Amino acid sequence: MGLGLCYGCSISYSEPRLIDGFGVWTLKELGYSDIGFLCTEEIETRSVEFRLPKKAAQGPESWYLIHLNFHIKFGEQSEEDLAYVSASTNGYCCAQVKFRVKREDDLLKIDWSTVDLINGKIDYFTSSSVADVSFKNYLQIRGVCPGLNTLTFQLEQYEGCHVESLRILNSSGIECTPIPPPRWDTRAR
Amino acid sequence: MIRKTALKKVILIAVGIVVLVSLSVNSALAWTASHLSTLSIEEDLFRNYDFGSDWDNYTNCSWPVTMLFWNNAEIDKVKSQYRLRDWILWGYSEWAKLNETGDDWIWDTDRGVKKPIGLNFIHMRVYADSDDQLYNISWGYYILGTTHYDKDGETKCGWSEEAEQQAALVAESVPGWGVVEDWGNFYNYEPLRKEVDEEGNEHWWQCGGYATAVYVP
Repeated sequence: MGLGLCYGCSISYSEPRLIDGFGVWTLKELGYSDIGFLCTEEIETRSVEFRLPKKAAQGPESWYLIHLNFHIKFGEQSEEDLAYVSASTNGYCCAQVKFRVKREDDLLKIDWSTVDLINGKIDYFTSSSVADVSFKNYLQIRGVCPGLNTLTFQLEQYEGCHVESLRILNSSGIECTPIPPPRWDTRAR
Repeated sequence: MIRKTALKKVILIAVGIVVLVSLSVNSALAWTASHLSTLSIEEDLFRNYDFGSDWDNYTNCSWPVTMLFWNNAEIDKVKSQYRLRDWILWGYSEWAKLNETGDDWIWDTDRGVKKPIGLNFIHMRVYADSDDQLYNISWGYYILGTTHYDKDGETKCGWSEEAEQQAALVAESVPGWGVVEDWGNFYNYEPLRKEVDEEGNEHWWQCGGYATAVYVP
């Protein structure tokens, strides 16, 4: 267990920090350390809180994105199956990373894929059992609320898949930007 | 409940209805839909029926889109929950036409998940982009589904509305999933009617036009 790593089910401070300007607000700046998962359940979640201004909304003047950076390691005994790491704000998912565990010549290999509004679909391939993932995406419209917001990280692992460790890095966080999603069309509003 | 009511506010826009007429009927699996349309949500577009092949024509339709799995959905994730509940078989591939980039349309194929009920089956196919994931800021990560029954050795197929209700019941049994039956108008209403091909296979159209929305946490 690393220094400052929190394994609590929910992490709360007396007064969640306010995101009140453009820029990236990391978990560290919001007052949180890296977040570890026990990886013992099929589905595990960890949550942190932050606040947004009274008139916060997903566009058209300010747009909010998730920055999700994490390190994941699969157990050598893992069988071929799937795992997902996701993030949501107020229950609305904005990050979904799909891992596919494969065995080739008895060696564990991890492929993963992401889809987001900035880069579209990206496939990653590795011949190792570990992955360092960096991802960002625009939040759902309903995932942005004035006042208190809850950011939840979720690990799902199925059947023979065995995640040995998952650490959400505190370089993850929320970005506020004036730049709308690509292909966002004001005529459709 | 907040999520369910909020989702209802999302407006689906039917942006076009195919009215091209074709006299060719070249496949036993091609049937004639009443309301083939393109629907849009944010920057995404999709056709509101699946097809017997990669030919976009109202005479080549198979089944109306009756299911929307949204928020944190993905093809394998959704199928795995149905397989855990005895939807352990699959059928032949059908095709769905989607457009997530705003540029090019793509075709996705799926064989679905299928549950035996006596000598009959209930069958659901689910579609996304070829990567099994779709995303927009209204529905999050979502996939689309069609539903129907296969009866009498698959010589009689259809009843999508009743099959949708069965698929919704399964979704309700998954911990954490939230279901709103007949949530949104997908503009694919089909009154109960029968089509018969040259070999005597019966295709029973039936759809209320409103798809069921399933929140995946």
